Amino acid sequence: MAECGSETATGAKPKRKPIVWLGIFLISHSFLFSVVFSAAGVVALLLLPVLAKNTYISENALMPGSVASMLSNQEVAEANRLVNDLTNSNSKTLGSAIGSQRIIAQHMSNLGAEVSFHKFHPQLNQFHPLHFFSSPDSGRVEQNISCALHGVNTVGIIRAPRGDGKEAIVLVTPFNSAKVNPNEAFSLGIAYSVFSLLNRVPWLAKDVIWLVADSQFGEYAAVCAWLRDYHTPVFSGLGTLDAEMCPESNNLYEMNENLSTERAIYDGFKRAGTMAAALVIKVADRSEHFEDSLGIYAEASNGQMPNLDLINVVNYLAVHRQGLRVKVEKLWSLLGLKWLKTLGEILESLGHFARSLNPNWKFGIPAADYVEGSATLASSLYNQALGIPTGPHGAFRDYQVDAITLEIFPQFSSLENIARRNDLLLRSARLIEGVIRSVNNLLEKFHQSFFLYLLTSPAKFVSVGVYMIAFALLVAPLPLVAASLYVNSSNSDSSVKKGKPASSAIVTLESWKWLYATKKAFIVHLWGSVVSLLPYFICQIPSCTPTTSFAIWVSLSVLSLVVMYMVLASPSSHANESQPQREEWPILKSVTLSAAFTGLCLMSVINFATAEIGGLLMVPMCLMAHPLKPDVKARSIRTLSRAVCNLILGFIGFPPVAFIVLKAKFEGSGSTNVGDFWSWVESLWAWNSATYLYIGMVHLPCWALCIHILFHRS
Amino acid sequence: MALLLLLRPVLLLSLLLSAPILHSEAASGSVVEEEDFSEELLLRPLPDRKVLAHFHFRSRAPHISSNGRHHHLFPKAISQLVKKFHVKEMELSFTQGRWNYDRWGGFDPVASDNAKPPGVELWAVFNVSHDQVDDSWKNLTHALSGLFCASINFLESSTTYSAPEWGYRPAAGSLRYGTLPREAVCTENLTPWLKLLPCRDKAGLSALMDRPSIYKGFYHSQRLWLASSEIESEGVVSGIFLQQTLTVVVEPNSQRTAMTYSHETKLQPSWSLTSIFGRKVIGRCVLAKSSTVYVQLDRGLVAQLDYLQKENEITSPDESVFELSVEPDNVLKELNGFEKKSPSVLYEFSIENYTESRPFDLGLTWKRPVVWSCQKAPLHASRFLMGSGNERGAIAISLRSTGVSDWLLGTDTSEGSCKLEVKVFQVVPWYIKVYYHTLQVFVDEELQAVSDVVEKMRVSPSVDKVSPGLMEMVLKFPCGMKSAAITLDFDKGFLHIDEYPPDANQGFDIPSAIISFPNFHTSMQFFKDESVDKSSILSRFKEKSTVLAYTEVLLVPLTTPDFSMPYNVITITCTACALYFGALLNVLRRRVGEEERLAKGKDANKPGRLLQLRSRLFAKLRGKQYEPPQPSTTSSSFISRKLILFTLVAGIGVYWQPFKRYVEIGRVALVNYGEDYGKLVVIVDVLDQNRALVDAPDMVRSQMNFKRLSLTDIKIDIKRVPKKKELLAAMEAADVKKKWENSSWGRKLIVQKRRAALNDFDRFKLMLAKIKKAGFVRNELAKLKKQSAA
Amino acid sequence: MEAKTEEQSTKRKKQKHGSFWTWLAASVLFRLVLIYFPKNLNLSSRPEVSTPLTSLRRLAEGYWLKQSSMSPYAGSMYHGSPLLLSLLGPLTVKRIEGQPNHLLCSLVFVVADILNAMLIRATGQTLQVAYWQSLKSLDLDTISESSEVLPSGDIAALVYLWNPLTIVACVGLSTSPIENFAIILALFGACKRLVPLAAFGWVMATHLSLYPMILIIPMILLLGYGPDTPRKLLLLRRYGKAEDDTSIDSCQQQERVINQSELPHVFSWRPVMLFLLWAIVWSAYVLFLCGVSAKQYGSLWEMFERMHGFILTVQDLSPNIGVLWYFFAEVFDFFRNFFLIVFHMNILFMIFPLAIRLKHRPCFLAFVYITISSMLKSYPSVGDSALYIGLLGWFVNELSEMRFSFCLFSVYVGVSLLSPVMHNLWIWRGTGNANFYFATAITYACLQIVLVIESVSAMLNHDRKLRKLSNTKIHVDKS
Repeated sequence: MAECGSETATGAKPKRKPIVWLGIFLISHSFLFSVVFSAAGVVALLLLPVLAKNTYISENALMPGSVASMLSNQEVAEANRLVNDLTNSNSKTLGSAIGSQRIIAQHMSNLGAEVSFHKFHPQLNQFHPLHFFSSPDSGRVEQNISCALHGVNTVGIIRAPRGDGKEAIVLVTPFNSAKVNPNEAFSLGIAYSVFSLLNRVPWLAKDVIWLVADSQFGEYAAVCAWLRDYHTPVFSGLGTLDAEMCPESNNLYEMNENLSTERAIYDGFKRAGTMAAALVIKVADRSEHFEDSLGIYAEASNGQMPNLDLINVVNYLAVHRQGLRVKVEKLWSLLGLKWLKTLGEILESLGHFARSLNPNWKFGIPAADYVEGSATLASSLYNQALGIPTGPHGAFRDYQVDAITLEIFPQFSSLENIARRNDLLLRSARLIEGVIRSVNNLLEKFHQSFFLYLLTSPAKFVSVGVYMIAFALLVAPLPLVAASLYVNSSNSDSSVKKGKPASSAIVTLESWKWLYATKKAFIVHLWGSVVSLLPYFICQIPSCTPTTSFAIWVSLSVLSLVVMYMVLASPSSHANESQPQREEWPILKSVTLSAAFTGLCLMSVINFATAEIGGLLMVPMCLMAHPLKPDVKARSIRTLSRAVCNLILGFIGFPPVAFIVLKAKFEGSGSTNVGDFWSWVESLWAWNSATYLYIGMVHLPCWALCIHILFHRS
Repeated sequence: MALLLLLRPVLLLSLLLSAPILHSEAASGSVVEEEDFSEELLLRPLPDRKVLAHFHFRSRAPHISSNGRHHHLFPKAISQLVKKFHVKEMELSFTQGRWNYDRWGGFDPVASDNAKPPGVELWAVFNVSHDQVDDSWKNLTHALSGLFCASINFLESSTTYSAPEWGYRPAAGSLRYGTLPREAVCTENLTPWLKLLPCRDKAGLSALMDRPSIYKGFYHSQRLWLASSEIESEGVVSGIFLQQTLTVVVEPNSQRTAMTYSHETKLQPSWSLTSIFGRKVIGRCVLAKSSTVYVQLDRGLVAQLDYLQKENEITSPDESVFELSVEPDNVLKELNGFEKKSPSVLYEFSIENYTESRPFDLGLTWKRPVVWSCQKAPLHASRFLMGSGNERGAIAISLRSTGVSDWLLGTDTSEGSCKLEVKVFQVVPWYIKVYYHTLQVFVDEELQAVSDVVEKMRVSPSVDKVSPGLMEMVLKFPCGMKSAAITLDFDKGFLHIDEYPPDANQGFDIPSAIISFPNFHTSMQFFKDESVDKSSILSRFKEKSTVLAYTEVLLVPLTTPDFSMPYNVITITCTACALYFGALLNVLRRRVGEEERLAKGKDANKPGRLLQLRSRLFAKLRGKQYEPPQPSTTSSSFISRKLILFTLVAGIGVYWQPFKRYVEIGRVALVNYGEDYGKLVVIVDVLDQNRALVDAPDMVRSQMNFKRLSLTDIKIDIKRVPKKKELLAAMEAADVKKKWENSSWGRKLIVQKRRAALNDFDRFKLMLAKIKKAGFVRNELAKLKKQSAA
Repeated sequence: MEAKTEEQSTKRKKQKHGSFWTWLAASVLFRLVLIYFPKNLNLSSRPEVSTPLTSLRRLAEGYWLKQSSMSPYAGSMYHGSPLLLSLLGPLTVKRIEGQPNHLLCSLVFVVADILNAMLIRATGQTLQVAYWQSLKSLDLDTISESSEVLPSGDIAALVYLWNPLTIVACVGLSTSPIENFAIILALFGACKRLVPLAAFGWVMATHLSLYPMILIIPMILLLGYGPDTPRKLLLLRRYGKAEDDTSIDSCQQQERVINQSELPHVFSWRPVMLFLLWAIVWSAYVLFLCGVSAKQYGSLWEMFERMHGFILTVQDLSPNIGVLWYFFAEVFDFFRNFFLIVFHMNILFMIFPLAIRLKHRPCFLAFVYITISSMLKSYPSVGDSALYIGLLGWFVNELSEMRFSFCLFSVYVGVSLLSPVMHNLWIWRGTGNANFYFATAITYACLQIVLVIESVSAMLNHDRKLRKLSNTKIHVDKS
């Protein structure tokens, strides 16, 4: 809190001249500074793609690609056998939900791995908004379990021959046992070939877990359920429940009987030490036209990222060893933007100019790269800001396990052609093997490299130290303006008070009169929290379309606002009659600003991207806010323009509007109705995203306060 | 007194349980007057295509006190150990890999004796008074770490070892137990272990141990057990029994051609000594009283074989399931298998009469596929961590019935009378702060009251930085139980920055817990008569040792502080303190009168605009009436106080530097071992954390580990990686050699060198010279005395 | 929420006391609701709430050890008092099915909170009466009618009750409400001049958490001079005359002063002696009780070692809202003792200057001491902050012109929101490191520092202002 920093400075040590002077200087010229700072913040944000650094592997223990891959065509052949079995089984048997699982289990146990089945009940979307602060395991509720919702994960574990089994590496292949589609089968094949190799390599020091996640209720749900049972099993209840009420879950076990001649498959949950890292392998069904390529998805819930080293290793191996083209998501709609391109050209020319001045300055990048980078940056900002994991790997991050999803985009028609297909299988399997091998080398867990970063390309990143500057510049004006407003208002009071003898009152409450504004702000924030709790009840209402529920939501929240004013604000309102000067808006605005500042800072710690985007929306709105009436009264260009800006910003600032505008901006203006907003919000709280809390308890109240200021009678 | 009450049964129990062991020892040693040594090897095919090789060496010596002569067979080091530290019983094991209780069996003597936790495990019983036990333990650890080139001396610190009362072994008070889960086991540990054998690994069975094939195995545990009894108690003959075993699980042929991906069962791999060890047995160790090789078919396999035999009656009676390349001298059948129908079978090969010309190479070739499963412990125990995050968690031990117990315990599983007794022994390091009151026991997925299940329990909670937590308890489960789970919550400790190991981010280990089943004993008896003496391994089998299983080692990640922060933290915190102190004093000593006076003064000399602005805004800030600012005189005192504190902190920073000699370019260092020892070199480049590029006039530039360099005070100024002659010039300029020879250290070294160079004759001359010198001195002294007297 | 509380409190002035009770009831209700709240936040394990000294979980462990016939201090889990153990221990094991665990304990804490509030209220009212009298004695009451005097007792009580920190500490199962109760009891007794009660409170507070020992000075002053009065100003006026001789004919001043100072301001020794006597008696009694409960497993010495030794040598390095944990986790071992001394000295150094300067306002002195110790103590928790924020309410009238109130408030809100997030980032997500959390801790420390300094200077200014007023008054009615 810069403001309080400076003020406390003045207060704590009233004689430290420079700090006081600086603080007062800033405060007294707050308008200028606020404009400068916020402009600088936006510029810095635009400069981020230029400031991105090349990634490097900072953990020396992982030596990616230092050894030749041991994976040969033999494993590929075995993998193909598995794939064929699966596809055949799918074609012939009907109730193959268990059948395919059985085949996989059979193959695993033939390799000599320990196989076990994990039955789970996918958790319905619950609403625990405070999930963020609590540990991932808490807040799980045992809803009544029906056998219809019931998935089976197949887990194979290879014990490292000479390891002591303290750590494990996890391979995940989502696989819908209900209907086997070739891509999933192919991904299983990749995993299987790696697995069969790892089963007999001597260098394995960590156990390897292969989780075939039953994705018929969604990939994330399956992985999440498995992780939950891995880390926080419930010893009482569930198993017995299954036994009597789930008939079809038992034929797993009679299969175990006929397998037990070979090697027992345990119904118990099998574990292997602390997880070091996890890889999710998927094969995309849409195919690339040019060449085989690899997509990396890293965003977990609340914009958490895995350690950068993991991505680096994958990227390095894929590019330099297996010749796969690595790509991360980008916002395609940005690529076409004119102004972005021109900006890129400007920057490029600037870079040239700088280099001409001094060859050591090299910050310019080609315009095309700039546009690419900014598109990627925007998409990773967006994904982090949503706080919704971009794949099953998200579940791991909640348990402090670094995980990423590798999605393999096979070249066009390469899955049909056998040779091509084997080649692709070989390459991707070798990639996985290499990654596992370097993680296996790791003695400590991932900690060397960055956790907080944004990717501008697979090999370029912006670290927290850089992007925080943009944010800090953006929000710096808030405390400044708040302080200046506060000071001015109290100053005006004292000037008013000059009239009557100052010494008369023993008890003067000037320095506490901010309490009324604070109270108002507090009530509005309370309302915000109520509003953000409302969906919990609304979603209980059966069978209502997004639009209607949205309508219900809005109406209820308005109602609640009114009620709250009736209940809480009424006494103070007639208190205000007694002291009219308490009703003045600058104080209220300063309180709003500091509230917004606190909220933004908080959010920037929880989830930077949200804070950044929210800041872009909120900072101008809060800074500009000024009562309309005087502006309109004094009809000068300046005031009128300010009023107009205020109106526009106030309109944009309203979350649904902002959402719809952005949606129209990026997804192209299709059918955008308010129902989308509801479904969007629903998805947010279903994923316990902190962004939801932010919208509910920071953005909305601040917006409301700003509106209140706009229509302030003064 | 409650403790005593608890202890008395313990002692009784201990006596009862210790009796059979000692007795069997006695049995094994009928009166030993001679030291003797015997070597044996047990081979056993395992269900999952692997082979267990179990070397078993035993040497005995009559007690030392009886006759002081030196040993000819028995290792002297061990006997000294026993004599010095009064070791009554001791076991040390180095293990690599995990014993697979499901597939390799958990219910036979080999498993219960030789299945050990990964790393090093050491326990010892001393017969000294209880207050001296710790000291002798510490000495013992030191001696052993010297003896076996392992870091056993880490077990010295009181945070690593514990004193179980009854949970591990019945020896209250005088038993100490410690493990090092992270100790890497390698051939450096095996060599000294082999040195203890009379004929090292030159002859006899131990000649089979070729390192690569042993360490290639899936499990490898080398163990040393010794017991000494001095008192001539009933039938117990005095003496030291040393028993060294090496247990290896290897996969005969690593190439997996036999691997088929169909569902039909496949042929077990055939193996022979050469295919396992790459060597043959050429003759016995001549010093060994007996040297024998056994091939054991365990009960499950025998049962399976019988079954196959039966159906062979119909099909083809002639061919057998497997055949041995060498005809066994003797076939032993187990007598007391609790299922009489399929006793375990031993093929005995005595290798007395094999020589280089006719080496012994046992082979086993499977003819027909056979699938069996080993005999498991009544419960399968596995332990894991619950929860995530670095604040708290829980240890959970889950026990799953393997279906063995009910038929072991007989018929009465139906009524609740029958109880399955389980003993849990768990040591937890102090930084895992266990809340013992959160103990929860689930039986068949239902929460039980602890008092119902836990028979008795002893806890010695951990004390920070002093002692680990120790939990021993006896649980009684109903026999029909399918599964059970025990959970304990804990908080993760936060350590001081120095207490973290170099690889702080790997996490910390919780040593493996021990789950033992007191009322299950493994004993295989192969002889009716008591003439077990002819084979030590069989006598070992005959003992009633309780079935036990070690759980996994757990890895607990702890949070780490920022290791690079100390100075920042100190300065920041001290600044905050100074702020508080100075400002508060400042407020307190502000007087009333001063302000008016200063206000007057202020009015007298007009302040600048800026000052006015400042003071006005001051007033604004305070939201009160304009009041001229306070005098700035006092600030000086405040500032000075801050300055003092900063200087203090800075002083600390400076003072703390532990040494004055840095590794830097141009630092002159002395090579303190290896070739070119004692040579002065100059560091010309620092390659990484522990290697530098060094150079000297008379050597080729080469990289050297810092361990090999001891830095001197001398530093010459050269740039990074200079040319040779630049270096020489620089050294000349700084005349390093002169400096070095003048420095005390250098002189010392020179003298040492000269001394070392002396040959005997020189030393003789030196002695004479000394004598002469002494004589002169004496004379002079006498003269002076006289003068002073006169 | 704090906004609301303070606002409520300032609103009190023009409402009757009936609403006070409604607010109290509301607060109790709120606590009960929170107790039944699904343990999503598991407050009881938050480092801000449960320090090694105050966590109920450790107490339960200690009780378990005691039940299994071991010393509760065996192992380094429990560091509280044996009396607390025998009071709360049985409640920790009682489970009512269908109810949340530790329900009884939390009820005990709620009761303790309410008692605290009541005591604070009573004390505040006595303080206010004293304040009013002092105004009268300076015949400033006429002036003071112009601006209303706030009912500081109610304000303080409500601030204490509705302070989120208090609520968290109460619901989060930390024993700090009970420690606070002892402290407040002591102050209450001293204000009401119930010497035995005061002594008991002081002894108990000292026994439970070492730091309240320094409260003996304000309590002696309180018993000696009576509750806070600017009575010293009567004399100050004389000095004031002496020091600025610009005013005319000081002789009349002199005799006015003489005949006004018929109410003699003397330090009455009797209650003080009584207090000391009682203190000795009570401490002997407490020691006896401890000995009784201690003798079956250990010795009194062990108890002292584990309770107060543990406080003085900061052994447990688990994070809390203070700064010492990280400091001692990082500082080099051979400076440890030095810095231990430095930090404890920091508390003691300021005792006497403050006592000299504020000896006419013992309650305020006590407040300052409590704030300082809760800022510099080894294992601070939000319970301590809750206490001094509550006590701050006593002085709304005097501190009405405190500077930076808004800033302080907003930083309080910011820090109290930010520190759990930082903790989460460090502990649960593993993406941040300890410095993040330490940063909030240091901010919090600075915040408290500013609070202390500002409040002290505001108080001094207030006295100064009173003095000025009385002087001018003299001038006025002289002429």
